[in-house]
Amino acid sequence: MAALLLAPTVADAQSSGYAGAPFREHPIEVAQMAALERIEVTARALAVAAVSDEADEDGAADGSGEEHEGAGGPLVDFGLLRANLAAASPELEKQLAAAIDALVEAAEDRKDAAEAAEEVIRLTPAARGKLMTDAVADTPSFQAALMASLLLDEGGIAEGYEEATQGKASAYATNYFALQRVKSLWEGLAGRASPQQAAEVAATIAILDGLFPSQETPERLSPDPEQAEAPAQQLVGLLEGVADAELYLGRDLAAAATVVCDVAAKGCASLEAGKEALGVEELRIAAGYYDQTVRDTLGMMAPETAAAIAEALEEVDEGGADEAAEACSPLLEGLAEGRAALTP
Amino acid sequence: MTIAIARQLARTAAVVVLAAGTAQAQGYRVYASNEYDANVTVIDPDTQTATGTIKISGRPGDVRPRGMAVSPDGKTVYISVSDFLPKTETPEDAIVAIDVDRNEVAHTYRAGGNPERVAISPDGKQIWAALEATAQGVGFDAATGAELAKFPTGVESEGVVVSPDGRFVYVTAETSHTVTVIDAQKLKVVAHLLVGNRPRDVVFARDGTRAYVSAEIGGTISVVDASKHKVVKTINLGLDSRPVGMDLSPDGKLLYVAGGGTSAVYVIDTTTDKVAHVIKEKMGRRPWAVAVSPDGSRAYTANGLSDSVSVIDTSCMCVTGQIAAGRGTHSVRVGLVDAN
Repeated sequence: MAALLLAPTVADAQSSGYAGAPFREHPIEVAQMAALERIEVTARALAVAAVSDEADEDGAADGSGEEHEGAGGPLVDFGLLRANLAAASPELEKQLAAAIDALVEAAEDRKDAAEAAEEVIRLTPAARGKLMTDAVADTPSFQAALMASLLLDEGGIAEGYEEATQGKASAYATNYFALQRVKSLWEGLAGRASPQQAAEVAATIAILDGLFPSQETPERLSPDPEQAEAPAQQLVGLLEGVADAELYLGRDLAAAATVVCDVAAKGCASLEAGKEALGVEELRIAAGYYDQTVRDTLGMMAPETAAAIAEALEEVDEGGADEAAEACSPLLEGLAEGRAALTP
Repeated sequence: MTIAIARQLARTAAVVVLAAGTAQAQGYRVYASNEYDANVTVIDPDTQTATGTIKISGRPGDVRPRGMAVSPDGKTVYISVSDFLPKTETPEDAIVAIDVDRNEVAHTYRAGGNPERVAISPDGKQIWAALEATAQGVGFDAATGAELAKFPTGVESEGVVVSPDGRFVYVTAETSHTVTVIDAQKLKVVAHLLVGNRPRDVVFARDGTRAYVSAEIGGTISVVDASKHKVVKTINLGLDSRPVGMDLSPDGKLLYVAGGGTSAVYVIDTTTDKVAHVIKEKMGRRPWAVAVSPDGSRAYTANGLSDSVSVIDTSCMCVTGQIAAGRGTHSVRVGLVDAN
């Protein structure tokens, strides 16, 4: 397997046209910090849902029987950073794991999740501090990357609105709080913006505020499920200019494929070194970037390669560390072929 | 000359302009589809006012008209109509043909798959649509409505165009960042091309030797050698340009590109492949499509966030007027009809 491990490549921020390229320079850290952001906003949404349900029980029950969809979300997101956190702080990892477990259990049992949510929210800043240094995390480039993730990632604000129009109330609530977090992060970047940039960002945020006006799902959402997408995309484009950072990893498919290859190679190296939990985590992160950036294109341009990669990633996702280790060879081979197919 | 221009303009995607009268007196009309009002605004370019609307559906908010094309003789406007559920196929998904003399729906072609844009072959015999929901391109016999063939494209197909010789159909795919090339005569897929990130629209040069593909996130225009179906050049408009709809001047020397995110129109000199003008002042918000008048003296943009059509005077490359349209103005088409 060592022969198939791909040598890490140097991120080339300059070729992106911007000074910074956080997704290329710190792909694992961006993925993990974005996951932590999602955990926190989900906790805030679940806390509100618990309070609403209590109020309903005091009055007339709405009888909707709606499940707290997305309660499994924090567990999935935690799976992207847990091993790294444990390596940095075993105690904090245990505390956060327990808090997330309690939150998910309370939500699934339709019990009051407020206390569990508070504990998750209390612990996330410390987790941030352990996962990476402030010197990088606090840069405009990195902060903008987190905003882009909250806006455009799967289950993010753009997609969340679409899910909300299809009846998924938890998607609305979570992304209401995600939008508040985006606005909070924007305050840290606003000083860098020109008056015109600031005005355009404000106008775009106002559009999103109109779609997510309060933490309760509006009675009537837009008939257009994709109505949040255009302003979300526009906002990310504006953030690129303000932060001078490339925020669309998939804009350059060859570069995106390189990031996927590098992160996957790191995961496989961790597995080979006996760091099983860490290796699986890194492979999951690679899978996330693969799905977001190059999967659809490879499906067109190199369908057999795409199928081979899909099969290997399924082993990583559904199996344990042993299955993931076995999948490394075909996965890395497939990713190398895929990168070649996408490189002009 | 009138019919020749009409055939050339039938390739372009969004504004339909129909001429009345002789080739000497080329009056024309401008049509703009309004996504959220489920209708099409009809504009008199001489008075620069909307003279009426054509109703596409009585259920605005459920049904949306988007991309448009005009038949070579200009007598029919074809409109992509779908619902607001991009991932599913519903009865609303159709290509609607409007008889422009009567301003009535003349025919409906059941399309399926959320058609987003539509194109007509230069001989007027084939209709092609990009099906967003099912990642397909579909061809119809314009006379009978019979489906000719359906082909897999990349994910979220959007732009579609037929080559001037009628031989090939190009379909863009937003999420795969590809263009699928279909042989319209042999009815088979020829190739998939990798283009810029998030391709939206595609147009052929007047002589058919090249095609241009706009990439919204890439901020680029891919130039395709249409004889080899290969990308031979990339024109960089800037990462913040957000290019979407395009149209060519009648002589093919200028490519007008609507910059949806920047509320600007970029004008590219096709002989040098360089940006010759950027039109921004007084532009409507979110120009999504652009179409050039038959004589090249004006260009019109469909502005989705200001619900309007901007009028560009090409002698000064400046905006000289705004015309109120409907909610969510999506596409605009300029075409020429021989009134005889």
